[in-house]
Amino acid sequence: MSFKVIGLNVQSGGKNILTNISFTLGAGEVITILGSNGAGKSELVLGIAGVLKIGAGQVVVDGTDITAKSPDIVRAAGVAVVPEGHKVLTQLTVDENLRAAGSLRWHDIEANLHKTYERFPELADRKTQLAGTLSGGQQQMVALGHALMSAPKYLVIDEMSLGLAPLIVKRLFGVVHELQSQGVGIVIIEQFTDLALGVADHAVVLRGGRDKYNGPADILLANPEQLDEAYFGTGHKRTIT
Amino acid sequence: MNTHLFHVTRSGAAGLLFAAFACLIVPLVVGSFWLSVFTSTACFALAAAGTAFMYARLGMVSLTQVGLMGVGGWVMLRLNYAYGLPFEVNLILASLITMIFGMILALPALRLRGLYLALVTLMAAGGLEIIFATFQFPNGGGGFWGVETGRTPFMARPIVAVSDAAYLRYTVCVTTFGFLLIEMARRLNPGRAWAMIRRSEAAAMAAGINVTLYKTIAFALAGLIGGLAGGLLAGSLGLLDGGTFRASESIMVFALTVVGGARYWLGVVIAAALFRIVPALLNNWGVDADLSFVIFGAGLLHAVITAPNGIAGQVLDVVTKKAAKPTPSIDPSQISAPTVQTAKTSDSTIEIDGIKVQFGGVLALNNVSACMAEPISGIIGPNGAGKTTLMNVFSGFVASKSGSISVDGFDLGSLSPHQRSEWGLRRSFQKEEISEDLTVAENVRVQIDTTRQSAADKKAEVARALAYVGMTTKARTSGADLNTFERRLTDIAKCIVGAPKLIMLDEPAGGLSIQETNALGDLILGIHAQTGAHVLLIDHDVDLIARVCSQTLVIDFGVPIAFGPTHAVLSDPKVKAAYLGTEEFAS
Repeated sequence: MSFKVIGLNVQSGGKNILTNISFTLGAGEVITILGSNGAGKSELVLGIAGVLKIGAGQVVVDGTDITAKSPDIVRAAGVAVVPEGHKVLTQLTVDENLRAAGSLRWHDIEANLHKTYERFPELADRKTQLAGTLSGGQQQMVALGHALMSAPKYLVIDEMSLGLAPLIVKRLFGVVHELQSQGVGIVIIEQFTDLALGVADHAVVLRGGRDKYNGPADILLANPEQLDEAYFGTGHKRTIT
Repeated sequence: MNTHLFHVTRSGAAGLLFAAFACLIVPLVVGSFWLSVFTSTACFALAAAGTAFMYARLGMVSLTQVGLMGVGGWVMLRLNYAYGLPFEVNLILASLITMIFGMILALPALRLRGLYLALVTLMAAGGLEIIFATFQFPNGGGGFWGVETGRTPFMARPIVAVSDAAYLRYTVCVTTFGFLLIEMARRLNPGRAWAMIRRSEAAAMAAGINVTLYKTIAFALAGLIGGLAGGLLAGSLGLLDGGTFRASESIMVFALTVVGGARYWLGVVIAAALFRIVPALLNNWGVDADLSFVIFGAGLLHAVITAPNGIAGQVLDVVTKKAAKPTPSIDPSQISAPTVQTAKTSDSTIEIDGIKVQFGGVLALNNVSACMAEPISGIIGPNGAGKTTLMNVFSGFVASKSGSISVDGFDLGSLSPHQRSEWGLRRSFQKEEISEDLTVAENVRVQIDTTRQSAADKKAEVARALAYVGMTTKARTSGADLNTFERRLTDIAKCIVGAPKLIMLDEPAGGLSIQETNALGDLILGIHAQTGAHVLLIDHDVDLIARVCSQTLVIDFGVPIAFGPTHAVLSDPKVKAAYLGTEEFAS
């Protein structure tokens, strides 16, 4: 049971944006993808989700090849993607948002809805509120709820803490931890490196479309200079203040 | 994209060559029927250019263009029969009157956007259609309307272009002039203002752009162009028929401009060719000309599905093949902010006094007061607490029910948003507002377009600001090709040009990596020494706030819960409970 990315080249406009990216995510594991802007993090997500063109390589989920498949096939294989920027259907209520997201698995929609409200009691209190009137943190919970409504085995979360207050970020990282302990494999892309490395088993640092580090997360957490080197290369010396 | 007024791009050169071909060769080889078709095509290309720039440059859908052509044609005929003035004088008067007409039509439209604007302009076109159908076009009769049945009209043509062939040449020249006029406006202040308006009206106002003025200029230019086209068409045909200027034709011209590609001269020419030449060809072959509607429909489907930039965009993609090599991304470790940092250079203060904002039944801000004297102050609080609303009060986008905001005793309340920018208020937005139609340098230049400096000074100031944020190598890069970090840097550059007094940054570190945030922090720390301006910073990156802000205001549910030196505020139990969470925070 694993989510495998094998030698993936992702293309955009006929050019390779990412070259030869590989990692393996097991059940209950967390992988974090790090790197500065333009390194190719979001392109990796879009490549996995089948939005961008794949030049070479494969994405295999539990033995099923989902390389460059359409989003519904990717989701049916057990992979849910939470896009950047807490995207919700602003003109629908919280309940309608979650039901809309769950409609692909309509036979167990009530069970998944119940589980999602259990996970986010904040949302259970606001079932009839329009999603557009929620705070940023609550919207991100709805966005995560969208993904959880398909009871995914693997979750890809892009910039989970973007624009959110520290209290909410901690709350959401708690949810990631919970999901992980329940056996969900999670890929997270995060600007707060320390938080991400804190929960992750494995880290991939991208620079210029290639992986400059691909290994255990705790090594990077313990050696910030190695993280720095992966970000910038050996040419620079920079102290983080 | 080019800032030089007289620079001829390759596409522009191709356009001029095409115009020369249409002017010199075409009249020699075609018969009188096609001369008339091509003349009318050139007229509609001119009119469509007005619709096209409104759509592609401002993002406004105007469906009155063919109606305005009718106005130009009506005035042209009226003048022709009333006074024996030369053709050129009549043409200029017809364009100017249509321009004023277009501006009057624009008045109700200025507050509207999107679908509503399209509907209002369509109704105006419908009104004109009824007027034309009722009163018809002058044919030399008496009275104001000048209509007399059975009269053979006589339309004077320019002395230099009496024959049909010469008149086609004349029309092509005037049409080319119209295209160049639009291109000139696009390369000067109006073009930069339009690009910002297209991006976001709030961002445009924050950049000091008088949105109403520049929208009016756009309507005026479209009216002028439409009047010119109508006048030329009247000169070609000698008599006009209300059926030519129906509201539905305006929609057709707009749709065909989208099919052709509204951003390019070629797209507009393709639109006019589809509109006039295709039906004529079908007629020639003995096929019902209404078949052209099927072709238009197919073209529109094609544009919607596969060609967002129209046929012209596709042609250009094939011809240019994206030869440009991208400049490497900006590396945060290469940005060196000046070493002089946060030394306080003035005693000025920002006084926020009893601000109260209500949205419906919700108090978004309730009695927020603070007196900020330090160069850099932070504002933090949970999502939805009212931080951005407070910045919107500063910007003048949201009115406070009571209270005031003053800087050094000067009350900002009396100024409109763009006047606040002229005064020295700068801001960046949560979602960066970089126009993708402009280069990095142009994006910064917009901010100081209204100041009274020489063009050379403005250029030097933009270069200085870009050098400060380390974006010199990207000055000529299109906004569309920037990553998030580079967009944030461009935002900072935009904030420091033109003698700023107060700079507000709304979550500038959102989406940035730690290394990028550090580089951004260095730049923010240097702003006061560089410009003397106060900086107000909203961000959720508490490390950044702790590092750069000497004092911080914390808002929760619209109420200030703490204000003071940043390290004291961050260890306040109330702040920990509402915002930070229970863990200790090292500052």
